[in-house]
Amino acid sequence: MSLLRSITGGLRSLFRKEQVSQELDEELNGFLEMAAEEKLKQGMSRKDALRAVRLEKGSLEVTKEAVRAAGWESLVETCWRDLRFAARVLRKSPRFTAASVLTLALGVIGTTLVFTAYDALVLRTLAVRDPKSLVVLKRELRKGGSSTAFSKPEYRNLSEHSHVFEGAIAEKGYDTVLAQLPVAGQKKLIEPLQVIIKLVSENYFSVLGVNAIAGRMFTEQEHGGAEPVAVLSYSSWQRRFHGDPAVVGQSVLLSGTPITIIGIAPVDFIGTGLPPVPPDLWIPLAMQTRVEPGRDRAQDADESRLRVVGRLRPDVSARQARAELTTIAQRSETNRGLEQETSAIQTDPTAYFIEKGNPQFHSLAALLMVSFGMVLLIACANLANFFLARATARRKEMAVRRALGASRGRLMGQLLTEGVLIGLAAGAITLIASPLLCDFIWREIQSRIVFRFSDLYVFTFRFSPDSWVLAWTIVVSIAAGMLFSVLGAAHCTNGDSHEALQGYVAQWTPNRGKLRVSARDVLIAAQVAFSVVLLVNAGLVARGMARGQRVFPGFATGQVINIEFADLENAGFDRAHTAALREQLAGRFSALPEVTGVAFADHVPLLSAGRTTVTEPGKAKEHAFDNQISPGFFSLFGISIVRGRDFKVADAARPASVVIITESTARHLWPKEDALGKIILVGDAQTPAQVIGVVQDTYTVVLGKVEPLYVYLPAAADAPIDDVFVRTAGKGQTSIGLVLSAAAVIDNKLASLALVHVMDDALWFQRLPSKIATLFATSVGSLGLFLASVGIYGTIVYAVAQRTREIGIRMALGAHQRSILRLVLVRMLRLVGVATCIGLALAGTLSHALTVLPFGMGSLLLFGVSPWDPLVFATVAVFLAVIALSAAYLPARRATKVDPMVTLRYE
Amino acid sequence: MADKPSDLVQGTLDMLILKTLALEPMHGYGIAVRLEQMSKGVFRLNAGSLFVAFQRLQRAGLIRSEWKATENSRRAKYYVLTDKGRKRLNSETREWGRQVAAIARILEAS
Repeated sequence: MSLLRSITGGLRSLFRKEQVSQELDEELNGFLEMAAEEKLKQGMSRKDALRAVRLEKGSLEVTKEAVRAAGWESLVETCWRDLRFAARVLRKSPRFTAASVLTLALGVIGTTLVFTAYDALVLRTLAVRDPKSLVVLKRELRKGGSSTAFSKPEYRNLSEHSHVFEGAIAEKGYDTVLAQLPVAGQKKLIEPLQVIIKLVSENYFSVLGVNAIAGRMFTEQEHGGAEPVAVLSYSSWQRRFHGDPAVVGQSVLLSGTPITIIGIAPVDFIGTGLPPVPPDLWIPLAMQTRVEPGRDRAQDADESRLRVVGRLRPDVSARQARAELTTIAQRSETNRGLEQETSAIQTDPTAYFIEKGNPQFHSLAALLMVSFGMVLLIACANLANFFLARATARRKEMAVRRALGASRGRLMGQLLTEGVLIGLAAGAITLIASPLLCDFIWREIQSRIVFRFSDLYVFTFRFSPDSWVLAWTIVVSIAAGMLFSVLGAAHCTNGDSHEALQGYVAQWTPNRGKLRVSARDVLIAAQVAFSVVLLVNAGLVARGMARGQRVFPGFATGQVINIEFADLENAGFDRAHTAALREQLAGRFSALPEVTGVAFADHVPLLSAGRTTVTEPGKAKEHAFDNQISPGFFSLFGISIVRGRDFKVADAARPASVVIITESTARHLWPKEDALGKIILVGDAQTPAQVIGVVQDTYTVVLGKVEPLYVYLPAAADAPIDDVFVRTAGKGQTSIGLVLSAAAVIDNKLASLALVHVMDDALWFQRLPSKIATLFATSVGSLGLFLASVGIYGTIVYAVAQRTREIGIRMALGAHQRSILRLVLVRMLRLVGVATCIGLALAGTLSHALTVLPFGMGSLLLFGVSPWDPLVFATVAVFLAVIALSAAYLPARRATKVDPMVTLRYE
Repeated sequence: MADKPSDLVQGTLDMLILKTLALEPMHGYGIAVRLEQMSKGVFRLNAGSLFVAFQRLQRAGLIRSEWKATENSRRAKYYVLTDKGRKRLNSETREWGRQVAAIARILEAS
């Protein structure tokens, strides 16, 4: 109550100032009059009486001031007045204000972007009930490595026999199927097109706690097969049905099976999988055979294709869960008479985008944070220098104001207010700019990366700063503004005001023993050193990336078209006819004009690779990559056969008996002997195969890295057709059209099942990380470059300009212009030189640390550029030296031109 | 002592003002005079501290004010004790008595 009254009382005196002050006047005057009347009665004259009262009771004005100052509202008033004064002062020095605000804003925007990205990628959780209690099961294998894939019996076993889950769900990876969707308002279905579906266990939505925004979700009560149902994703609902709510209850044909859409998922529900790409439809796992006719994949114990996500009971710790699940998994392996493969079952947290445990991502994130943190540091160093310079310039002003009676506290308060204003302005800019910038970046990424491959996969990803991040930016801006204004304020209000009034100027003491180091020098040095570290590392990464863009895989990509067929078996192409289809395809494609070669493989170089093991008889098993290829693969890609021969058509009949290896593999297995004719055991089945050829090394898995063990096996004639390669002399798009129509001649369905791209896309995909890193390195680098040059230049110009009078005096005393310039430049060079050396040492250490970063991150970023690359180091050092020297030279020269009389008179 | 008015013990001014107002509503000058008279000139009040105290008490809701005419038909602001103020006065009086007794005991001991 009394607080409320105090507030209203205060507000009243704030907003009805006139009336309140009038009342107080009247009351006090009355008081005075009454006291005076008393005195008059005692026989004093009126004048004496008033004087006596004033003496006794204190002066009226002082009383008024005391009453006014007693309320809290007076503090508000002071602050408001300070704020207005600060705004006026800042308006009067627009260059300082603009530079500080812009510097601070740039630094904060950089960190805001990183935080936003981190928030969007890592901290964001799935849009389900209590996402923190959801875990993804991961099997750790005895032979090394881990996998999140489980078979359906294993899923059943784990979810039914464990007591750690409230519920556990299973989901299969994305499947592409042909669908015929209903057209709004019409009875007929549209032409078949590819959609992506996700098969999930029937309890999927109930365990996740996700409700339909229209219709309903399927539940455990759903009978597999009786009435096939599906749930539509929000993005698909919008894209394919234009948000028409009438779609609920309609039927779609999936691989020829009618399925009823029973509900639509909420907009932010993207499933549980990584990456955040919602499928078109979620379909109960039990209906797998209906939408993927052929084999019962989901039931097969040998098919490990399910990702298992469980909701932990609140009273169960992750450790308990791991222990129990590991025991269950191992017992089941023993019961089924299998070799013990599972060494442990891990429970990983679920994530929206990136698994939190991913160390490669963490090192990248750390790198980003350190870089943008460095930008912020440089911005702060700039700001500190700006404020210090300004403080030095205002020493005299402050001294005058102190002499006129302002307390030091009041002056500091006023300077602090200026800092707060600058922080506020920078915060406002950040607030407006960062959402726009995030939006721009996300659009760029989307248009350049996401839609390049296929418009089937739609990334659902929110890249915009949330209110917490924005609040943080404001807080940081204001805090920085305050911090540096206090620093400046302390500098310009302390010390002898008498000295300052007389225009005392700190003097240099050149060449007299030790170098005197002031706080200002330390700041300039720190600024230079930070800038060196940032610029050198950005430069190294940019150079590495530029090199990465020029690395070629060692085989032809430009004129090769890759045709990828989605599961042909499901589309009704019988396995028995695969060999015939293969011949038909090869025949049709070869007959096309300008086509010079056709080959088949089950993996696309640079996009995927098979994993197998290779055993030299009598030695330990080793992990290797493999690809099953048809004859003609090497000549099509221009990979030369160094020794031996290519596969022949006949090899396809007895596929496991021969193998072609790369040069590195030959060197690795038989360093001193000829590999040709040797026998190796391939795969877990340990099939013996004879080496019939050795081919040239290429970058087939990761661009820039030669795999030590890579074997080519002949594709069996009846193996499913995955990828067909066509080499053509023609132009990309025309050739793709020709290839598709040739496929359509064989069977109309083939054209719609084919995903066609040129092999340059694979190369593009491989270069993507380095492209993104280049983008990032150049943006951080240019931001740092801009801030560093502005900051260093500004500070040094200012520091030297401060000496104008001293230089004038020296000139008046007969010093030569040349010696003065030398004095200034040598000193600056020494300072910047020391700072640059420190910076270079730090930068080298950091970039060296970069190369030993885990998972080859550093070598991936540097692409073989030395962490001590002399070109980058020298460029940065020279660049900063030039900036510093020109910043020192210009004002010093101007100072020597000033008429000595002017300076002397001023003194 | 009589020439040089003594400073009030911190916080007692509020209590004294409340006590003065307990008898009847009064204006600022009246309160000052009454305090001087009752203390036989020991306390001489500075207008500054007095009026700051009025504002403080008013905002705490212990007194309220109204403009009225004085006996000399002059307009003056009269302060009136509120119920809350009366309660506070009672509790503070009790507390003061306790403290004075305690201090007296300590001073008389030894």
